[in-house]
Amino acid sequence: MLRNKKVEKSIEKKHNIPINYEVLENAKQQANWKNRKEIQVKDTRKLKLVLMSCAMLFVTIVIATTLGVIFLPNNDSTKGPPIYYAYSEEKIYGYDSTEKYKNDKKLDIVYFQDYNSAEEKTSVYTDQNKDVLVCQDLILLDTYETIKLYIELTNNYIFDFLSEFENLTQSTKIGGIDIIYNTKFDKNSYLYKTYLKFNYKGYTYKITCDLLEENDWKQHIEKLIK
Amino acid sequence: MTKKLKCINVVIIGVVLMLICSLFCLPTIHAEGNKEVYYNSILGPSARAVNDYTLNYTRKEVLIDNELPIKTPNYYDRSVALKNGCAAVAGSIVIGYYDKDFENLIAGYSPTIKRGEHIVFKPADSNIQLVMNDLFSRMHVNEVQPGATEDDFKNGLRSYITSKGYNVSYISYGSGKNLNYDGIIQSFNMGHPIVVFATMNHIIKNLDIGDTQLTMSVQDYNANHILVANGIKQVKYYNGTNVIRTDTYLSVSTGLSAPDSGYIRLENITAINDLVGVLIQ
Repeated sequence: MLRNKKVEKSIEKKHNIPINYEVLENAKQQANWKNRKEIQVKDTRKLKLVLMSCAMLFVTIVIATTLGVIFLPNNDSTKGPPIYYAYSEEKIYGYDSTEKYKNDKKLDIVYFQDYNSAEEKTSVYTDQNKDVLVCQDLILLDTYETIKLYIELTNNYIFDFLSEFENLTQSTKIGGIDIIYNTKFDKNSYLYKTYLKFNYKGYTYKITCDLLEENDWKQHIEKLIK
Repeated sequence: MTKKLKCINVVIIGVVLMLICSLFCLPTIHAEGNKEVYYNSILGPSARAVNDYTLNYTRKEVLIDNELPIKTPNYYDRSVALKNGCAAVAGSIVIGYYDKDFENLIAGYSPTIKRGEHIVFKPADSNIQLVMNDLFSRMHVNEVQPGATEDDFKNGLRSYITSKGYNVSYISYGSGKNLNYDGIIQSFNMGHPIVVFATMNHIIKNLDIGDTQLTMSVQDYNANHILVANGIKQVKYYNGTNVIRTDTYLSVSTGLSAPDSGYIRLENITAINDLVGVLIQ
């Protein structure tokens, strides 16, 4: 009501013509001006409130998502239902190096590096266009020993081709990390084949080594998690 | 009269359409009748993961047990660059194997290394990768359909071997259930590996034939695949005097990264399309 009066006064002031209130009141009644104006004012406020709430919600979601992406590890921390992953060459692609993969994907993972004479190949296993496993495949060219490092990027995949890591019986600690492993002599390669696995900074690492000496793998692991 | 004409027109149009269709369809039907198998990495549906099997018996009888003096190398495409490239990988296994005796096959490269008194094959380093790449091209992999046929494999391998100044001959040891076991045994005894063209459903990752118990861990693998065999084992399992079953296992270099070696059980495999001995001279 007060607002309407203010409007009327401002019209009078602007045009410098006295207002005939009788005519104006009639016209207002005919046009139902008062109600409309009030309703209009009410609606705008509600709309503004809704829009502001939506904007705030949107900004909150964007900030939360950005912070989540930046600060939370990429590894799925929640363990969902197990997904069985069958080996298929169709689902593997090559990458320049594990170092480049780590940097490109901004992952906090460790990998074998600083070998004087080694050939490295990196492959990435995918499931529905999502990277689920990285493999660093090393040949030490002085001795032709081999090391294969698998880094699981998710926690709930069961890889059929890594079944050897399921029944490891021996355990040790290297650099404060619990490691379980098995070593046996492989009469085809005349090397000691070791399967070992451990968790480090939220990722599961599975490694196979074919090495000349039974315990050589320990030096390599020390180097890996130095 | 008009109705009759209409009917005749419809019949004529129908016949013409059928003839046109048959022109397009007949060659396809003919081609499917003589369809060649393309060996590639396209997988059929797989149940899941790895299954462990155990068989208990009171005694066993080993009927056949032969293998190459030195097992074939377990190469695979480490660069992951050769899609559907099992033909090229299997070819490189054959080349790497024979390079120990025919050194010009891979110029300036020794495929083996000494471990104590034993000679073993080196893993697939960049020298072997180059051979794979070469064979991939010579075998025309993926040029017609994904993968390569048996003929593509043979022609590509021959092309490579003759380009290095040697000759190759192929001997078939049968397909399906009609396998020439004597020929297979002789091939291994003479040091010649056998290329296996198979429609696969499994790879045995671990095989342990004990005195009274057989254990196997079997990985599903449903694909038309080429492997290289380096040994054969045939074992009859008994319960008392009754025969439980007879198994024939081929020891193979799979050409896959995981597992790179293993066994296939001939009684259980979907199809052996051909077993081909490769002899380089």
